[in-house]
Parts: sequence; structure tokens; C-alpha cells
Amino acid sequence: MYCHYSASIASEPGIPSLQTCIGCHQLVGGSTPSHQAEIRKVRDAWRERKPPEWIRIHALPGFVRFPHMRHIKGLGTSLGVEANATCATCHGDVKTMPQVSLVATLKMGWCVRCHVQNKVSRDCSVCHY
Amino acid sequence: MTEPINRRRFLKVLGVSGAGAAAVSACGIGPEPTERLIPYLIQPEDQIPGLATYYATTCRECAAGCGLHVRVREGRAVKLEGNPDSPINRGRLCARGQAGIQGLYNPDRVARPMVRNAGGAFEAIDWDGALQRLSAKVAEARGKGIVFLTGAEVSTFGDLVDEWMRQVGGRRLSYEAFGFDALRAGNRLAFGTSSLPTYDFANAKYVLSFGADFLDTWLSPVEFQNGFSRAHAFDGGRPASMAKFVYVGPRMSLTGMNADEWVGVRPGTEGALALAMAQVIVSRRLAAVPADAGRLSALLSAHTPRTVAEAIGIEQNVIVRLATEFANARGGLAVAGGMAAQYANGAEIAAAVNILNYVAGSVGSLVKFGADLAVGSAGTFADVAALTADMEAGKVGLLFVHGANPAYSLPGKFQQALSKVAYKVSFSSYMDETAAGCDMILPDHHPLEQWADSRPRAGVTAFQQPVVQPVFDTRQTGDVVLRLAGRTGTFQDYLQAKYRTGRGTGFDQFWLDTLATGGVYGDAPTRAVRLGDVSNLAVAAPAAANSEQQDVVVFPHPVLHDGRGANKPWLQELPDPVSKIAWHSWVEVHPDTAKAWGLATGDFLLLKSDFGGQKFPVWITASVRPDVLAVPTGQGHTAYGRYAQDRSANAFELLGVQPNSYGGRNFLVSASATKTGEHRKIVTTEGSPRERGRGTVEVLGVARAKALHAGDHPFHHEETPEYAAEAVAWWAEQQHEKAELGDYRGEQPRWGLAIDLSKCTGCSACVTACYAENNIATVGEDLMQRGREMSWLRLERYWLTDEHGAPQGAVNSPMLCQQCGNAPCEPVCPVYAAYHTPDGLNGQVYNRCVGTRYCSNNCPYKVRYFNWYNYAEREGAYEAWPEPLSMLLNPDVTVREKGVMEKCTFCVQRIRGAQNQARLEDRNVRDGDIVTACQQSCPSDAIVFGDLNDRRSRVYQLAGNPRGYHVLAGLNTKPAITYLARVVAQDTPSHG
Amino acid sequence: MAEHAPPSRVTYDYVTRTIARTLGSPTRGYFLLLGAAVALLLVGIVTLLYLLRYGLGLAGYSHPVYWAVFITCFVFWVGIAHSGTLISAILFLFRSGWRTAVYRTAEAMTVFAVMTAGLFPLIHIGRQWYFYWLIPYPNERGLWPNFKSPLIWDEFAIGTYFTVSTVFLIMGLIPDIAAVRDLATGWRKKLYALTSLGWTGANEQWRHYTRGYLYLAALATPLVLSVHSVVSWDFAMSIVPGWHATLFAPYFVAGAIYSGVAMVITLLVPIRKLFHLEEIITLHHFENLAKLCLLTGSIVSFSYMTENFVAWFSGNPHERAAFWYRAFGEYWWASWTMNICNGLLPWLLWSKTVRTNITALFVISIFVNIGMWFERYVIIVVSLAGEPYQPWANAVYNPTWADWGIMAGSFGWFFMWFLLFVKNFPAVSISEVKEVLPPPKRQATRAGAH
Repeated sequence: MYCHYSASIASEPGIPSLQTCIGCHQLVGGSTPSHQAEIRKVRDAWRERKPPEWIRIHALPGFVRFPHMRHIKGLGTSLGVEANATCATCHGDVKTMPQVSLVATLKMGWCVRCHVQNKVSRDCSVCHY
Repeated sequence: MTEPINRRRFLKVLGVSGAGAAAVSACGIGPEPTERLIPYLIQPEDQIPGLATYYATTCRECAAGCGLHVRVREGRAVKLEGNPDSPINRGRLCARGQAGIQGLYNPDRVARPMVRNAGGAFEAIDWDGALQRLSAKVAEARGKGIVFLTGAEVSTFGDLVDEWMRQVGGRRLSYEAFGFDALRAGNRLAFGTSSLPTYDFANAKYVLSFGADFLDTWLSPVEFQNGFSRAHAFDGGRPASMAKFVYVGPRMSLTGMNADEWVGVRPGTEGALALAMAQVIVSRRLAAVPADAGRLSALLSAHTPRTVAEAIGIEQNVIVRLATEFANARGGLAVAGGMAAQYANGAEIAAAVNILNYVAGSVGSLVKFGADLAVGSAGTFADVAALTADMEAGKVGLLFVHGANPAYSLPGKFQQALSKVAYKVSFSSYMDETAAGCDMILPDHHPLEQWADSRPRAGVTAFQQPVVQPVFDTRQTGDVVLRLAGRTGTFQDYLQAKYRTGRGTGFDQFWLDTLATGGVYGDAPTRAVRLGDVSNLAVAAPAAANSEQQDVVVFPHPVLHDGRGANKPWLQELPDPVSKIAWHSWVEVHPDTAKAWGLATGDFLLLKSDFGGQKFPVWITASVRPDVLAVPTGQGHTAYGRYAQDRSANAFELLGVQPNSYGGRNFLVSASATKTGEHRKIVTTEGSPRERGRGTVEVLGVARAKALHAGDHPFHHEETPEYAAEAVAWWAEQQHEKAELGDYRGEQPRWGLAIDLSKCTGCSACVTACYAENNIATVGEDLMQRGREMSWLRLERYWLTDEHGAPQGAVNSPMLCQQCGNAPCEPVCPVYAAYHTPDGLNGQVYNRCVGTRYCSNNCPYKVRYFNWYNYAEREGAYEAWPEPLSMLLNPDVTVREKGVMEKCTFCVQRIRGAQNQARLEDRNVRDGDIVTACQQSCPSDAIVFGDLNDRRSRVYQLAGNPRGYHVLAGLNTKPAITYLARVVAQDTPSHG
Repeated sequence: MAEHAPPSRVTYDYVTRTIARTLGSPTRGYFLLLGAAVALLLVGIVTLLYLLRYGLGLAGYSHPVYWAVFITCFVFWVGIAHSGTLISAILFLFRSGWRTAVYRTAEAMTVFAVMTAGLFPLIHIGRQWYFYWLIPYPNERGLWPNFKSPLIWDEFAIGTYFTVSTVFLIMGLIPDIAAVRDLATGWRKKLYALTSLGWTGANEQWRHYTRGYLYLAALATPLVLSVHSVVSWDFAMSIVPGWHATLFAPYFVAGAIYSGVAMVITLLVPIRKLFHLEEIITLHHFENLAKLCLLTGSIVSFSYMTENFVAWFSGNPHERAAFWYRAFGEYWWASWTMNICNGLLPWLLWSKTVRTNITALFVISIFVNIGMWFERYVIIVVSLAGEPYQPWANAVYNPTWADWGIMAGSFGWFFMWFLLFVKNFPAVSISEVKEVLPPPKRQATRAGAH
């Protein structure tokens, strides 16, 4: 919620600006060598004023709308957890992942299943327009 | 704003984060390509991903100075909307304004400074190099004549240029291809002032226009249309009132076709008519005639209906009737302009109309001097003609051109003159005809990228602020001028300095407020004017063309105007509101004339005046006088980018370059007309001009309309025949069950629209707004000729005819998806791509559509459009959004792939957006939260959107209006759109 | 049918040899025809590739004419497919002996015509690569096709018809294949040995066979009526004036059989000549086909009149406009072609001299085919172009090379299969023709299934 600050108020979570990353990683250097190596990349990038190119893991086709704020609020109320915890429902426990990977298919069947479970609208035009 | 190096990346990231703008899966086959995300280096504080930011600025597509709200998503301007705070357009915006954004992201912009090399070709140059060269040129041109030509610039920028010109011993001229010289001369003649007043249409009780096209091109169209619809619409502004509108002119323009009565007088005789009416009013004491009107007696007695009727070409009792109606309305407003003000005797006509207003007591009340319009102070045509002569004579050593394209509107002559100028510099950010003839191009920022102000009328200052990063390596001309003038600081500083004076510490707050509201809005006090000596006013029409010559009227195109709109595909593809022709120009010929000459629509007619000749395809219409031919300007560019270049013919070629008696330009020329034998299929959206009583439009006489009471149903359509009642009830039950699927808070809404045909003028602003909001592809001339245009919203123009079958105005009916409650398109779709949403929309799921097209066949309104090609394909034959035009795509709307059906869904993305917001705030959607794009833009407030299940909503109220009816209700489609019948002044209207 | 007993020299033996001769090594003429068919097919394939790459825009469609030549061809070929089952199944149940000489050709034609028709719905949709969304199959998204849509009914109707008529054709073939197997040598012998499914002509087999054939015939019969009724509902279920008529089902079925029989004649005449089957396919057979033509043709022309009458009698402005436009709008030529070819020409068949004149029949049958193609063109294109609901939106549609390319391809595809069939399988039923012969003296036969 600090990095993707817009996720709970807007449909897009956005990509944290490098400034945001460095804000913490100025000080947080990482515990294991591998972590340190990765974080060094970020620091170098900041020094060279050259944003890193992240590889996109969580992508939806262009014809799907996934308003993040609706899901965070919805899940928050139904699961009774605070905003940060809701992310894990779809993205998994990212903060323990050495490298981000998909925990869900992000395919329509997966969306529908969840919508059915939580008794929310399955009307097509909720996601497709 | 961040520095340019950052900007490039910044554009890249948009490529991927603008999710909505990605096409429906390219072919549905193969894995998704790996996307790379490039983050911002530093997050711009005013940008929140996924949330739109709105900036207030000012539209500079014409001189009216309408206020804008620019919708910005992830750093891209995606939609222009009217600024409700602006007293000029009151939150509305015309088609030309909407299309401004296509100027910003136009693929043919001049991307960097250019200079002509030895070989005579343009080559890129860096800004510093260019400016060094230029300052050298300025130095050596001192004394040899330096001229700075601008468009209508009543602004701080204008002042700056003036300052600089004084400094270097040059002069500034401003030029508008369609100037208002006649009006100013006319005001000088009648009232001794050459300023242009504002006209209060909203409070007029009777509107009489002598050629003034105040709904499309005259002075301030959006403001006037808004006012006009208040006055003219049935129970619009005042209770059950309806100001009659009479249009006088040789052809029916967009404005003319909204008239209750069309008086097609012989060109040039408008002045005589005005005086004759004044004579009737004075002699019969129909109005409280001002005391000093006595000195008119000589003039008026020379213009009795009897003496002038013959020359005008109408019966004298018509003149008497008009005069009586005008005077008895107690608040008649007569305006002269457009054609009437572009004859050789235009000034006299304007003066005569002033007199008419004066004797009717409208000057001061409806015609307000004091709140003068800026365009009034623009240079006259005579000045430009003089300049051209000077250039010819080599008296101009250095010429700057900014915001004007004289090489197009003065073809030939100006170009030759231009070549005689030692050094000429263009600040155009497009390669237009003038720029192409210059030695150096220093592209200016687009108005949406710059700091500026302008004073469209006394009391109003409109501000511009940059709403996006500059798209190209352009530079604001203000900055360039400051640099050349050897002054420090940017134009932004210069601008602020202007307003800082006398504000001291309060300035910063003032500045913030002004940027938020978009300007400083005040009212200038009305100034009284007295009638001058007009005793020897000569309004006689110029000699009519001899037998083998034809009177040819050259009129400004309603959307392309003087040609500046031609490089914007939205405007090219927008059918002209009257002829419904797009992508090329035409010549209007009366059916009788066509019969006599053996012409068919599409035949080419070669018009040859003393000044030049051009070929135009014929459009046969009864909306023009039999003895007159009419051609629009705007097309026939020899430069100006891919959308404008080499398209049809330039009507300016027919016009002379000699200023007339009052320093204006004659737009009525006599020319020979010969059939060339060539033929083309004209590009028109008009299938059949007649409605044939199919229940598409309904018209009421004003008397009948006034007699209506709540609960009346003048239009006897059986919504549900007895035998169907049960079936429909069952079906409704089914729908209700379906609705249970939805989970919006509270009761399911039923979205609906109300469209008031007595307000709709057919101006087509809504059409362009729809293109902008919904990523609708422009398909180009060839495909449009084959009926492939994608416009979800089309305006059907059906002529109203008098007893002789001659057109008396038209009914314009916006036809879009009716979101039927019982929709024929839904059951036939084999894959549920067309289906009924819980909130009563006819959903269209693009990614589910396989393209059987059965839905369209079964749609009685024919409002579904098919993607025959992939219009989003890069470098494709029909690419609709070549870079960087694709930047204006709305990220909330899917770009449709080839092979899928698309249609209006009441801007479902706006509906969902509002619902999401409401959900975040734990409330229901309120009436007015959702405004569809068409409704937002409509200058006459004819469209209202809302929830038909909400008994307090505006749309519910309107749907119950006795004038309300459903198109083709007999089919039991249960449309969600209620049309309110057009009301006309005749008691027994006939249409189609 | 005894009174129409064939000439005496037509013996079992003669029959077997004549028909078997049709399978002899192909002539140059045959290869020319086959080559032409394949060439047309290639044209179609290339056109299709273009459509897939660039989109349907290459065809002539223009708003609001969203269905045109492709759907016209679809209905045309489905129509053709009808007479086959009619002749083989229905006439079989009616025990009309004359069918025996012609039904094999008709049946083959049916199968290949359905194969052709089935391609068009796939070609004409906007995103051909998603055609499988029209098929109901369970999926994680929980999405199903819309069974309310006539297009889905179509899918089933056509599918069923194709399956049944194919089985029917193959079943009828078994004894004949066995017969030719006994004469054949080389690879053909292997092929026939395989496809005759070990037929020996034993009494046991015959008993089962005739039973099965009877039931299959009974099963196929209702399909003749159902298929084209369903196809007609593609139109009748919509609210487009000119489509929305209760008359459509019988009207379409009659039209289908009409065009089908005509096509049978068109095909039989050359085959008869090419393979010297004059004595087996006699004038008598043609005359009966002609009578069938006359009957169905009359029903069709009656339907035309009814349509126009109803349009006028209903008093519905949209209906009236639609039919007025049909007759006198931009497409008057199409409607009048249809009226003359389908309405007037067949009346010539009242005269016996015409009915028994092969050339005359051949010419008429061709005209009927043309007329029936135009009937569909008029119903589909003209009804849409007229746009009686929204006069503003009407348009004139003109086909382009893409439309013609696909259509040519369909003819290529059809004739390729048909030609391959007649060369490799008996185009006339050996066994059934024999059934209507007088029983011969046993020793006269040397070969044959019996």
C-alpha cells in the first residue's frame, strides 16, 4: 500500500516510481547476498537516473476491467481483514517471494469462481466494456 | 512538470499502463507477449494511476474562447469537455472544440524546428541554432519592413508581440479568413462605433437572422446556441414560451435549418428587407419607437414594402407580416452576419439591421454594446490585402506568421507575394500552406501545452495552462519572442508579471483560483449607443449576375470552418449537419436548376469566376435558392497533413483578393458553371431524406403543443397490444430474476435518456464527443463511401416542408442505441455477446462477439456497427490512430478488434466508474453523477441521462412529458430513450 | 410401375456391366472437369486466406446490409441438398420404382451440398477462429451458447442432416460396392473389399439390410422437412420485414426441393451422356423429375404471391415498403430474375413434349438453379438494403471479388467431391435397379452380387 499507493483508491495500482523504491532501499540493504545484489541494481539505477525495466507478471487482457479499489474494499469487508492483507488473495504473499510469480491463473474461470463464492455480480458488463 | 528526457520514458510506460487501449486479443491465438514496465523516475504529484485529473484551460479552435476541462489520464489528455464556470460556453463544447485534442496528438505535427537549406528543402535544426540565425535576420531586416501576422489575438501574447514589433520597428497584423468587417462597418454607420456587441439570445422573444449563422460559425456559436435553445425550445427557458425564429438568406445553413420559417431572399437584398420592416414598424407605430428615429423617415419612406418587395423577391404582405410579428414579440432580436455581411453591400445591410433593432427597441436590451467581442478588434481584410501588396512590392523584409494560414485562404496571390519576401518564418505546428512557403518553421506548442490568456470579450479573461508534457520538441512562441527581444524569463513569467501588478501578496491565491476556474469572469457594463446619421444609407443590392453567369455563395464549413479543421479526422468524418456529406466539398444546386442543366447528384460542376476555377460534385437540395449555387470552404488543401492534403477543391480559389468598399471581402461571386461530365459517388450518411411517416420523428404545431396537459398522449402508438400483454409481463419477470445477478446497492436502476427534438439543432457536437469518449475509429473516405462509418450516434436530418413542399427548416433526430427493454438484438445472438444487463442496458461484450451480425440485421434502429477491418492495426491500410494519435484513446474503453460488432452502451464505462466511486463512499449513485459524453457536450442541453426507476430523476420527469414518444414503439421494443416531439411555429407542420 | 417395364435387353448382367463401366479408367474430359473444379476451389481458398488476414471488409458489405452473398450461398446449397433425401427416402417409402435409377446421384449430391453449405456460416462470421464458441461445450467460464438463437438451431439441424444422409448414402452403397468389388482389380479391389464391409449377399445379410434401410429411410424423411424449416427460421424469427413471415418454413422447403430436383436434372443429363446410361436412366425418369419440379415450382410461385398479398393486406407500412422496394427499388432486376426463372419458366413443364425433351429440361433446370439463387439473394440482401424501419439508414450493396471468390470456391468444392464420387463408386444403384427388372433365367448371369 505504500508502494502501490493508488490501489485502494483507484482502478490501477500503478508502478512505483524509482524514487519510491529508493526511499526505503537507501537504508534497507538486504540480508542475504542475493537480496543485496538485487537491491544494488536498484541503487545503481537511481544513481544513473535510469529506471529499471520490470518484467510484467500480472497482466490482464485489454478487454478486462479490474478495479483494484473495489476488490480491496469488497474483500476487506467480506474477509474482515485490513487492506494490505487483501492483496494476497490474488497476488499471493509477495513480500516473502524472492521473485514474484503468479499464484492464480488470472483467467476468467478463476475470476468467476471467486465472484460466485462471494455472491457478487456475474454480469458481463461489470468487467467487460 | 518533469524534464524532457524523462518524458520519453514517460510516454513509453503509458504504452503499457493504458490497459484499456489495448486491442481485443490480437487474434486470440498464441501466448501474450512479455511486457516490460518502465516506471517513472519521479512520480508526478498530480497524477494518480487509474484516476483522471481535470485541468481548466481555454479552447483556441476559434476566437470564441470557450472554457475547457481537459480529462488527463496517466499524463495523456484523453477528452475535452466544457468548463461549467465559463460564462461563454457554460460547460458545453462544440465538435470543433472536441477535436482540438486531435490537433495536440496530430501525427502530422512539425516535430522540431525546421529551416530551408540551400537545396530548398526543409531540414531539422536545433532551437539555439535556429534562434541565432533568426536574431541575425531580425537585425538585418530592421528598416526593411518587419511584419508579424497573427490570428485573432487579443491576449498578453498579442501585447508582447506588439511590444516587440515596436522595439524592432515592425508592425503586427491579425487576420481571420472570415472576418467581421461588415458588422463593424455597419455599426460605425449606424451607431458610430466599430466594436462588436454581444447578443442576448436567451432573452429574445423573436429571432430574425439575416444570414448570421450563430449556431455554426458566427462569433460565438456555443454561447449563442445555448442561449438560442433557451429562447427557442418549447418550454425551454421560460414557461411554455417559444421564440419564433426566422432565417433570411439565399441558402439554408445549419442555423437556417433550425428556423421556423425560411425567407430565401435574393442575395444582397437583406438590407432592403430590414429597412422595409423598420418602415412598417415605424409607420404603423408597432413599437415604442425611440424619439430620434424621426431622422430615419427619409430613408424609410424610400423603402416601403411595395417599393422593395419585387427586388427582394418575396411578396410584400410577407414583409408586413414579419415586421408585425417582430415588433409585437416585444423583444425581437435581429442579427446580420455570415453571408449577408459578406456582400459588397454587407456594411449597409448590417447597418439596416441595426436600424431595425433600434426602432424595435432591442438595442441596449438584447444587443449589448460594452461587453464587446474581441474579434471586433481583429485586422480587416483590407489590411491583409495591403500587406500582400507590400510583399509583392518587396516592401517586407521579414515576415512572421502565427495562428493564420493566409496562403490557403488567399490562394495564389498570397503565395506569390510570399516568395517575394526576403525571409519568412512560420510558427505553425503543422505543415500548412503558409508554413510550406516559409524559410523557417519554429513550431509553437499546441494550446493545450502552453501558458496563455485571451480576452474573448470585455470583462472575460480566459486562461490557458499546459495540461500535458509537450508531445514534440516544440517551443512556445511567447518564449521565442522574449528570447528574440533579448529579454530574460519565460512567457509564463511574463504572463504572471502582468497579473501580479497591483495584487501584491494576494497574487499567488489569485493565480491558483484563476487556474482552477479557468479565467477571470466578469460582466462589462452595457454602453448606450445613439443612432448616427443614416439618411443616405444605400442598401441596394449589387447588380445580379448576367444570364450566363451564376451567383455563387462561398460559405464557411460548419466544422472545417476556414480550413483549419481539415487535418483532424474526427471533423473530416463528421457529416456536414446540412448536406450530411463528409471528407469532400460540394456545390449545392436547387432541383429546378439541376433539372434544367441535366445534373445528377455527384456530377462535377466546373465553377469559373474572374479569379479562378474549381470543380465541385453536385449535391441537389431544395435548401438553396434556384438562382444561387453554394460551396463550402475548408477542403482542397495543398499541404496540412495526410488528412487534409489533396482532398477535393478549395472554394477560396473562386474569390477575389480585392477588399470592397468597407474593407471586407466579397464571398458572393458570379461565376460560369459548366458540367464537366465527370462523376463521383458522394460520401454521405443520408440514405433517404424523407422520414416517410415511419414514426422516427414527431412534430407538433406550437398551438397544439401548448394545449397539451400532463398525461396526454398525442402520439397514439400502442406500446403493448392486449394479446402481447401477458407475454411481456412474463418477460419482465424473467428480466427481474436476471437482475438478481447484479449486486449494485439498492434497487436495480434502469438507465434511460431523454432527447428533446425542439432543442436539438443538429450541430453534431455529440457525435464528435462520442468518438472521443468511446474510441470510435475513423474509417476514411473510401470506406465511408461504402457505408462503413462507425459513428454510434448519427443525426438524422428530415426536412420540414411547407404546403408547396419547399423545405422550412428540418427536424434533427439523434439516433443511437435505444437500449430496448425488449431488444430484438439479444435473443438472436448465438453467444450472448449481445445480452441484457441487470441495469437495463443492451450490453455488448466485444470479446465474446464472434461477428455473426445477426443482431444488426434484427435491429430496427440500425445502430449497430461492425469492425470490417482492424482499425487499430499499426501501419494497417485503415489505421485510425497513427502515432501519436493513439495517445488520446480512452483507457477505460476497449479498442475493438476486426470482426466484432460495437454500439452505444450509454457510456457504460462512466456508469461503472460512478458506481465504483459510490461503492467506495458507501452510498448510492445520485442523479447527475453520471453524464454521458453526448449529454455533456450538447450546447442546447437537449440530452438528459438518468435512472428511469428513480422517480426524482430529471430523465424520469422528462419521460413523462406529453410530448414524449418512443421511436417505432409499435414494435414493442420498449426503448429506454424518450424523444420529445419537435415543436414548430406553423400550426400544421408536415414532414417527410 | 410395371407398365414402365424397361427394354428386355436390359438384364441383370447388362446393368452390372454398364454401371461397372462407369468406374473404368477416366477420360481426358473427366480430368478437364476435375481440374476446373479444383482450380475454382483454389480460388476460394486464396480468397478465404485474404478474408482471414484483412477482415470481412474485403467483401461488399455495407451498413445495413450485414448478410449477403455468403448467406445466400449457404441457403442455396442447403436447398440443393434436399431432393436427395426426398428421392431416396420418401419415394422409397412410397415404393415408387422410378427412383431407383436416380437416387444414388441425388444422395451423393445431397451429402456434398451439405458439406458445402456447412462451410459458409464459418466463413461469414467476423472472427472465424472463434467458430467453436457456437458449439455447446462445458467450460470453466460457465458460458454456453444462446439456445434461443436460430443460428444455434441451424447448427444442430444441419449437423443431423449431414450425419443421417451420409449414413444413408453409405448404406445404400454396400451391395453395389460388393458387386463392383467382384469385377475390380488392383487397388480398387482392396478399396472396395474394405468399403463393402464384407458383403456377400447372403439372405441373412439381405434381410437385415432391407430392414435397416427401411428404418433409416423412415428416420431421414422428417429431416427433409425439418432442416430447411429451421434454416428458414434464421429469417422468419427476426423482425425484418420480408423475413418475418409464418409462411417461411413450407415456402423454403418447397423451394429447396424445387432447386434440389433441378440440380439433379442438371447433373444427371451429362452423367447419362458421359457414361452411356441412356437405357438405365430413361426419359421416363426425367419426366417424373420434371413433374416433381412442376409441383414444387408451383408451390414456390404461390408463396411469392402470398408474400406480396400479405404485405399489402397487413396494412403495415414497413411490410409494404419492403415489398415495394423489392419489386421497384434498386434491385428490381434481381427480383424479376427470380420471378421469371422460378415462377414462369417451370409452367412450360405442363407440356409433355417439354418434359420429355432432355435438352429443354436441362436448360430449364439451369434457369431454375439461377432463379433459386436469386430468390435467396432477394430475400436476404434486398430486405436489408431497403431498410423500411429507418429510411435514413438504407444503402445499396454491391458484391466484390471476395464475394464471388468464395462462391466460386464453393462450386469447386462441390463438383470436386461429386466428380471423384462418380468415378469411384457406382453412380446408379446396381442392386435396386435390378429389383425393378423382370426376374431373369439364372444361367444368363455370370457375375454380379447374386
